[in-house]
Amino acid sequence: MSDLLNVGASALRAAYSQMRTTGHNISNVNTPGYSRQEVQLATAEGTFSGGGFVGRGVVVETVVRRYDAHLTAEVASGLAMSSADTVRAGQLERLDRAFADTENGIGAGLDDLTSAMADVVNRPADPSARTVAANRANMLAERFSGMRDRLEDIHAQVDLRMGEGVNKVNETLKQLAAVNEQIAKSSGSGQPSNDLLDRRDVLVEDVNKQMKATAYVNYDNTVSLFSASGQALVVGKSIANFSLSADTLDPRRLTVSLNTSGRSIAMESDSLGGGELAGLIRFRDEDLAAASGRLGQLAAAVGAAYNAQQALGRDATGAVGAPMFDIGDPRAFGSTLNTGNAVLGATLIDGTQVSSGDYEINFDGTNWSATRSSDDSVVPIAGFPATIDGIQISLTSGAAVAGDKFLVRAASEFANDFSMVLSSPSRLATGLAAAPQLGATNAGDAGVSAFQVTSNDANLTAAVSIQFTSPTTFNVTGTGTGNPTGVAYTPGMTLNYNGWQMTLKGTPATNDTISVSATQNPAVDNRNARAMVGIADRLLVGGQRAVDAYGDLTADVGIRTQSAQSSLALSSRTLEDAQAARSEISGVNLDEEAARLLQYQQAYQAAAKLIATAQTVFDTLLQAAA
Amino acid sequence: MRVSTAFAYQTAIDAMNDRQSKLARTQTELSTGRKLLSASDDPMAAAAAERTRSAQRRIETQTRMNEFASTILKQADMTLGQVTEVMQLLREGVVQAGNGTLSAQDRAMLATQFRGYRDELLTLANRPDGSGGYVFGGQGTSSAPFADGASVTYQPQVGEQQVGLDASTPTSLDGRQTFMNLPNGAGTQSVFDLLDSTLSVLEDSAATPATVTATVTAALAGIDVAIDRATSKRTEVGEHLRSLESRTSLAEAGSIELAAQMSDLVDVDFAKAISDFQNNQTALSAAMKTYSQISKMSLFDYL
Repeated sequence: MSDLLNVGASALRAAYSQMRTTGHNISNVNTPGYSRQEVQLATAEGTFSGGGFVGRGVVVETVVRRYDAHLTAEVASGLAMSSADTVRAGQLERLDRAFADTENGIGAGLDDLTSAMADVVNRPADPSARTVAANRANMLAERFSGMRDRLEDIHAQVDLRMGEGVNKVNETLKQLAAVNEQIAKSSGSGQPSNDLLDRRDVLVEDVNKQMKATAYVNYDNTVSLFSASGQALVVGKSIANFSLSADTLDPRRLTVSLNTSGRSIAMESDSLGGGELAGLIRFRDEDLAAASGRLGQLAAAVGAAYNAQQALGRDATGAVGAPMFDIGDPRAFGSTLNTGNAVLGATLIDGTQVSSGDYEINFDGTNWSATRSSDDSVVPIAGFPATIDGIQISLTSGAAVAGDKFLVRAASEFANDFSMVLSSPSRLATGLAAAPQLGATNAGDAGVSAFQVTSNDANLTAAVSIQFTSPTTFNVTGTGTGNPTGVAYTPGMTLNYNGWQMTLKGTPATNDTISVSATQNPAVDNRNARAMVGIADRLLVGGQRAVDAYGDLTADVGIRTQSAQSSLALSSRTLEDAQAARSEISGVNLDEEAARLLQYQQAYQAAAKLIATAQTVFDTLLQAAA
Repeated sequence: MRVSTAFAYQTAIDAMNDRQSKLARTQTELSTGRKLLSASDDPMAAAAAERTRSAQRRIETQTRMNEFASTILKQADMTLGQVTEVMQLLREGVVQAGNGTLSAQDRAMLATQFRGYRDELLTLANRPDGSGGYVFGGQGTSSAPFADGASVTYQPQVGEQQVGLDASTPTSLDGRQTFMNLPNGAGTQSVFDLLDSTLSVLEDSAATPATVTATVTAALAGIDVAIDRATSKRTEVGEHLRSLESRTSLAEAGSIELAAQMSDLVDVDFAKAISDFQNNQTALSAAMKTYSQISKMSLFDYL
């Protein structure tokens, strides 16, 4: 009788386990990483009797999770890609928005200054026109530094997120090692610890959200985790530790270092292979650096052009024009790994020559070279001081040893402290120091078609006289000219003396004169102001006008954002496909569970009936025996 | 295919989110009237819009200078007209003085009138341009260009001030060329010197008829040269005004063209945006309806 009771009890146990597992599935329907579990049943081996093997019921063998290792790995690597793309696209969208306001942008600021200068050209002596122009110059400088501030904010946020990412990785690796240990312990039982395995897989996914990591499953169901560059992250009890530290070359740049067995390895975007950290580093080093380099290049070119024009002119007080903008200085750093004691210095020579990159300076023991970050081109340095793209680099002190590296931050510095430094509107150098005049008794129609100042020569204001000795020849007299005689005259010819350039036109009569002398009243002279208005039309930045260079910078950010968004769409789709495929296998379907619940409930009821039957049979026997 | 319940819900939610963000985007486009909200929407159009905006501002800058030049030159045109009128009056005075029957007293009276016209001519030559400068200000001056001492002298540097981006337009006239450098036989003479020497003879009661006749002849010749010079200056000014006008109308046409270009680049196509909006709205409401229908269906409801 007890056999029958045992068969009933085994069926009851089996159905109960199945209902419990169904309940577990229903409970975890929304738990991330949960894999649907199933009870595996086997027929209990029958008991031999003369009449053959009589069944002994059912045995609960184990509970398994529905799971595909390949799909799980695909989801993890999909997460690494899409996390990198998500964070890069997100940061680029911020950058894109920073440039979105074209009404109040740098391009509009440049045009505002030009149009205010046009009023100064109209009324050079009008203090209010000068004040407006000075205010517009100030506004332009504020837009440059304001844009730089926004880029700095974005940079600071990237640093912050990198810090959070590194903490998350460290924390997750520790948890993974702990779960590994629990799995190893429970593996002695011979039964899989399904929920721990799910937890293990979720932790591997969490690591992949920050950096690409590949898991290899060991015989005891623990995993060993390796980075994309093959560094061990978790192997047995040894756990890698990540930290953020200042770059050896660039103190403003944070790098992720992997600290393992006493060594520190710098992890760049490539060696991280994916995840938010790789996305952040890529955004910072490629996208943000390009935008900030081009912004600095534009600031340097615009600032230098106005400053140079100021220097060629005279302000309302008659003084040589003072600089209008403070562009800032390039900065040189030596790598902390340098073994030599050389110190490099850098100064800005010509802002209109500045590239959009910074320079890595290398010493190989014999030769120096510079690598420009914007296009990775290498420029050999024959000797110091060396001028590269308008930046003069000099060896300030000490001597370098082979392998020493230096960084000269140029373009990325210039928008930093860009400011308007004209002390008063009267210091706008609207006039030129010298002016040409035709002789009072000239009989011919020779005249001056163009007059400009090209340098601040010491003799710029010296009186120079051109006397025509015939309609085709003239003599020149005056300090700094060398007093040439019998110079041949052709209409349209250009004379260059004492830092000015004069183009002549027309036909002179013998004894006609043209003289150049100091400008009588620079305060009412508008000639240099006209040249400043002309700056807007000059090809200042890499063969482009300043506003076009700004438009290009905006478009470049837009293109980068667009391409990041499309990579994100692609990697999200890949991830979704992997997740969908995995959910088809591992996911819980509530209708399925409901149906199973009914199925197991019926089995349970039947088993209960079996026990009741056994009891009835037993009672019947007892009554018969009584 | 098994469908994971959680994944099915997630997919449905993602689909609704996607539709909603598309709706929000079209809504922003419709409410701002712009399709180009940031460069990533269309990088090439963003760069083109920046160029167009700058070109519009350049025309504005040009127009500011042209309008200023136009105001100044109209003032110059009027002044030169008045200069010619005064010179005509002076010429009539000289003609009257040449009348041999005039007594010394008559000549003195004529001289008083003549001096008045001479002073008026000087006032016109020193006329401010209403913008802080002077009509005959040469290369620029902050005080009256003609000083009346022992003789009238021209103070500023000779030449003219100019404005303009591509083409130069004068905003002051060369006073020396207009009044001072008038050809007189072999040399040159100032109109004021001519008037002053004529006056000294008219005011001289002892002047002989022969002297008066010689003076009158010389004065008539000199004033005619001065009138010719003023007239030709006025013609020059008129030419500048005409070319300013044609440049202004060119600029206006350019400005309209640029505005149309700008609108193509950044403005929303309302018909398209509204149709997009309705499409997305329909899709969203369909997604919502199916979501609520599917979420209502569960086997548990039948247990």
